[in-house]
Amino acid sequence: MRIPRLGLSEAGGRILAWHKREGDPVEVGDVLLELETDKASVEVTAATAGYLGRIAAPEGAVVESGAVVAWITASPDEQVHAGRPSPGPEAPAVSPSPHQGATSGWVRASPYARRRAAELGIALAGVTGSGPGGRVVARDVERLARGSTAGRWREAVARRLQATVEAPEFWVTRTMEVARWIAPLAQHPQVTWTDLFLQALAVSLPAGSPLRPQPRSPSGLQVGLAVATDQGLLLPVLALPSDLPLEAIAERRKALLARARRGQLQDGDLGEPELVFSNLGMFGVDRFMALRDPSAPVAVAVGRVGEGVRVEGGAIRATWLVEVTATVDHRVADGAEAARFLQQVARYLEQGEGARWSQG
Amino acid sequence: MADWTYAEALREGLRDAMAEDPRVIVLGEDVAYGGPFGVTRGLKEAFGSERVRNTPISEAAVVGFATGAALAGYRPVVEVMFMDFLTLTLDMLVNQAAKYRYLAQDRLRVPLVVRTQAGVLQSAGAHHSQSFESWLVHVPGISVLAPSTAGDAYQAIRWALRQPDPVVVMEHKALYGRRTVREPAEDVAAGWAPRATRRRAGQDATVVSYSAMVYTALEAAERLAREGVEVEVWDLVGLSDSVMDLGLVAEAVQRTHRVLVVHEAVRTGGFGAEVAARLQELAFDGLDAPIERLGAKASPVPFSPPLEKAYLPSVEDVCQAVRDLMA
Amino acid sequence: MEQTTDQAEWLQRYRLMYLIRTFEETVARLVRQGEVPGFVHLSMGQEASAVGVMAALGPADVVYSGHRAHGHLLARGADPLAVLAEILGKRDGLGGGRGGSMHLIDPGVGFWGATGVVGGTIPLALGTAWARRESGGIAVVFFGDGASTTGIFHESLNLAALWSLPVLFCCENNGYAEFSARAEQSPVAYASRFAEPYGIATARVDGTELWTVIRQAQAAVQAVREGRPFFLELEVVRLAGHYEGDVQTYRSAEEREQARSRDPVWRARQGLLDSGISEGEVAQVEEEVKRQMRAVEDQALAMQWPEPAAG
Repeated sequence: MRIPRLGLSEAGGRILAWHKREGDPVEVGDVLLELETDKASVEVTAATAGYLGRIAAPEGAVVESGAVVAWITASPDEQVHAGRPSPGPEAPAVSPSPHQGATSGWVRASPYARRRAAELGIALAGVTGSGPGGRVVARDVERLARGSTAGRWREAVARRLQATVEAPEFWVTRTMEVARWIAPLAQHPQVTWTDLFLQALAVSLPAGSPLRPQPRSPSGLQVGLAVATDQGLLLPVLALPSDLPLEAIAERRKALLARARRGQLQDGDLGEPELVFSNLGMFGVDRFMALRDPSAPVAVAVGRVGEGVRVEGGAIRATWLVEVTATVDHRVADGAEAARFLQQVARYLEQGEGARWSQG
Repeated sequence: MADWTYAEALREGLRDAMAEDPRVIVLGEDVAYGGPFGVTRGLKEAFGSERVRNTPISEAAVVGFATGAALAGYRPVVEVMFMDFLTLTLDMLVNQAAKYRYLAQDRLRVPLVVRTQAGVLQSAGAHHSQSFESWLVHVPGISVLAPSTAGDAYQAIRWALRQPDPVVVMEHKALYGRRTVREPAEDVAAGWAPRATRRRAGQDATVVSYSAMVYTALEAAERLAREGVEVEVWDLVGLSDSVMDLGLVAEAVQRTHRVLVVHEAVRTGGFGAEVAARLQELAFDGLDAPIERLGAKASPVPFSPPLEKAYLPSVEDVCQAVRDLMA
Repeated sequence: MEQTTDQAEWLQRYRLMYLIRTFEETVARLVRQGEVPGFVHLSMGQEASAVGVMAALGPADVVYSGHRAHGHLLARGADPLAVLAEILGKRDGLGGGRGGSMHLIDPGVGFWGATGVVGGTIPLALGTAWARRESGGIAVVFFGDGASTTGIFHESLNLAALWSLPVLFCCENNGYAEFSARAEQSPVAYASRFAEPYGIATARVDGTELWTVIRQAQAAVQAVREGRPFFLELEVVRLAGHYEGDVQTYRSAEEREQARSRDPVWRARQGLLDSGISEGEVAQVEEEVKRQMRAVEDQALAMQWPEPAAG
């Protein structure tokens, strides 16, 4: 039983909890453990049925993807050799937690790890050692420090910010008229402006368009949703086929957000986004620029939907407007291509044949 | 001269010192004929047999003689042909030469230099291959140098012949023919002092060595670099308390957090233990792993080539030790 | 009675011998009183050897000794107070308390060192003799007959002969090497015999008779100054044990009584009286020396201990 490769993350994560105990029967798909990764907490499910044999990585252990964290045996009493296998692909990537030997209160730790723990305000007793014999070494403390104070996501955010800052970017903003959606949305309270914008984006970025030259998944546009949670900003991915009805978008989005807020994102929720979507309209923000994910060539930021005026043929009329801003990786597309993308979105919202509803 | 060998550098060091100072004399078995490694070749022709003295096979008496001459103001350089034979001189070195300055409260000094030659090479066997530096550094009053480059070999001789107290220069038979680029600065003897020198930079681990093992460490570092591990290699040059300063090495440890000490001498009781102890004193809270030591197997030096090869730390041994440190 | 020049010199030699004897008796008593740290080797019975050889030397000559060196150092002219202070481990001792009885060094009087290792200074004398060959000085090394079975002794004889070094080997043969009689140590009856095959000139003399020692030493030193080694074997007696406190269970009472009859100090005293120096003059010298040693003892005991050096 290994830690699967989790979306973007090669780095694995920290085991928050085991949901099964040694000896428990295991069915395919059973949630075995919760793992805190760069981005979020993820439930890791069993790929084979059997019995949970020896757990090699206890709660709190930091494990790499590909690491053996437990053995699933065919019978409940099958022995799993307990020694640490010789280093190689079959070896558990983590050693027993110092907790197990910590009855004396002494944590096996390198002097440098102790210094780093003191500097970072980390209690050594809470650190799982990945060094020889389960010794806590500096990297364990530093990894936990990144996770314990702000969650591993902060490290990820910082890394991504750094990556995007280093890329050439530009921004394109277009004001769009959305008055025709006031009434339908009022009739479908489960559907929000976000769902509408998501559908507009899915329709406006067909595979092969300049900002989406190579589709990453047959399941549709991979939209990263910036989600504010208790743990901070997360970026789960929603797969959006261009023909998905608004109600379905709303349903999937809400389920994803719920998992994100509960810290229970699944493997499929953590893919590489093709577009990052962020809506701060509910906070009264008129216009902002969203950060891209390094994997996404474009981020779309939507502000407040509000009343405004348009002048047409010298006549002023009141209407509902929203400002949509695209942050674009200049290495992928140029300004005209970005402008055409926003033009497509505007055309869908302002002139399209209408939303795809599942009914009526 | 664009480059020179280790042996040539030693010879030039002796030649320059003898030309500058008539009190410098050279003694040893066959030194007037150049010695078995040719280090003293030509010195008798240049300075005469009174100053370049062939001695009988009486290592103890010769070092004692040199001690007595040094007490009287000469600067004798004794060549002890193999470090294995240094055992025969230890009473003179340890009980006489090393003690005089202290017991006489500086009123008598022993500016004695002993050149000797250690190390495993080409099946020299159990009595012609050993490295005993840890015995010597254990004795206060003796300075011990173990240069690894031609430049340092030259400077070690010049430096040793400026000291007022006994110095043992530990040469290595595998280095005599090693040719290195001659730096112009090496012509200037003044100002040089034995100090730990960084031979290669790296941020992942620090390997501390001296004498011929420096080259094994450097070769290992190149191999490790191909694996993505960058190793810093330090050459101690000076080993005894009087000349060893591990301050810079300790700073390196604070960067790399991992240390391996490599030497040719047997590991148990070897000089690496002293280095390890000092580095943990100086940089304890910078260590992310126990300091590792690599030395020869706990065995007399074997004769047969495959046995001899297995006896010494190899490049791969160094690589594996570093990999273990990184675990 | 008017003293002759010779008589004045003899009295002076006797004063030195008597000083050495009194000095060592004082040391022996201080050992019994627990005032002396470490090991002490007394040279009672070797005073004529020490004083007689030194009488033949000049100020440019260098003397080395072994572990039984008090007499050689005093005979060479060292300050008894500095020597006693060193034996007591005091700060103002000859070596600042660093060496003690076995490691006495006084370059000021050309005494370049005792040693705790038997035979350890023999090759040093060779090197010093060579180094000072042009200054006109020679090197002298004292050692016991026990040293003659060491390797360094033989290496040194060979080298001294090979290189014609101006060194005087002075072997004080007291018949004992540490605790064992000569016969248990070597089948060669006398140490000087070892020198013969190397072609080194030798002399074996009664080392308890001051005037004999002086005459033989002068001849030996003359030979050495001409540029070749000389081996002088001085047959002495050991009136004390190997070290102070040694109960000498290995020596019979009869033998010890016989040794006393060869006491060099007693023999020198008899010689003075035979030469016409009065009992009163001799007794006055003895009284002066005793007074001197009492003062030296008081001063030495009152001296400060050395401070351990920082670091």
